[in-house]
Amino acid sequence: MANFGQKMVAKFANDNANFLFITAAVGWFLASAAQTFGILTNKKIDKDDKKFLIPQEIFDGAVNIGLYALITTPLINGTEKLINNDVITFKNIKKDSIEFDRLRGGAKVLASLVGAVVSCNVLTPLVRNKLGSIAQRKELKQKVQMQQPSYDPYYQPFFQKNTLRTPLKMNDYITFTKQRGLKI
Amino acid sequence: MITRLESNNNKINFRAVKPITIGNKAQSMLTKIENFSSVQQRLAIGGTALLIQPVIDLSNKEVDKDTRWVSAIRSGAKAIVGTATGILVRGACMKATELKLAKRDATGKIIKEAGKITVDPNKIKKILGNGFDSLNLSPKELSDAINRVPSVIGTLVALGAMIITNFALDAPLTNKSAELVEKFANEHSKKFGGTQNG
Repeated sequence: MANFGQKMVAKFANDNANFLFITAAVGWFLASAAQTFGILTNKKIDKDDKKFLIPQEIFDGAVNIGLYALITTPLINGTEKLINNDVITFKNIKKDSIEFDRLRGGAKVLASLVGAVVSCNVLTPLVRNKLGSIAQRKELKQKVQMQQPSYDPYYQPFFQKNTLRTPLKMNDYITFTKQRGLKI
Repeated sequence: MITRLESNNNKINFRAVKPITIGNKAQSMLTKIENFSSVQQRLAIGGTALLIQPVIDLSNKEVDKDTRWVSAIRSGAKAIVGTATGILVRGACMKATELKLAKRDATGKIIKEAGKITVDPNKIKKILGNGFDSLNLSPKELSDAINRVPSVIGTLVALGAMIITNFALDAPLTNKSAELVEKFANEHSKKFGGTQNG
């Protein structure tokens, strides 16, 4: 009686498309974990940057694997269904022949490759760039806000010479409006 | 041409779709692809990543020109480093497994058929036991599956090895390449006179 590992290796050897699909997903998970670890242990990156880069790397990996599964699984299953239901046929090949099984296997592997290229090389960079630009804009906005002196109407305006930073009194307000010729 | 896609019970009616016939040339390509190993898969995905991802980064109008160039070069560097280490680790593990499971003569020399190393079914039987029994494969299918076993075991071993190599090789190499990219970008902006926002 074969154990679980022996059965799995035999199954993988028989179904190459699913094997390549699973191992690619595991490979990307490991790569993403390594990149996150690389940022975590990189002493040249400061703490504030790490707060942004680590979630970004984790998110990048999650999007990559998620989109890969979302696109590739229906592509593999759909290709198999189309072949089994005679929508895709092979010239001069009988349906129950070994050659037919081989060609169906090849079509499934091709579908898994197309799914991987579309999801990981086209969709993931597009999503990543979109999210990256949103994060970059947010960060820039925060920096600009931090550089600008905050205006508090209860305190003297920052452009006045006598900035004691004390709460304004009614007299100060009346003087201020008179200076600018403002009417209430 | 699709004449009617959905039947009354909302399931796809495949009989309504005009069949697509795959010709001889495409068939021979599919036969080759069927036996693709994880090395060839990594090469195909890595190669297309190198061609497509920098173009996508360069056409990202939502960031300034400097960021576009840095991210494009970083994507390219990441694709090269990731693909190279991935192929190296997978290839080495698969080759070692193939040599271990190869058919050998009495002197221990590897037997080759049509210039290719052949797998020893007895060694596979020793490792996998009755693993193939439940799959009910025809002799030809079984032979194909047996020939793919070194690739499968090699890839699984490679995934185990990658837990270490990804951390020891991928991450430092990507950091190093990112530093080089930054250096290149700084020199690039100096050469053309300051930043190139726009």
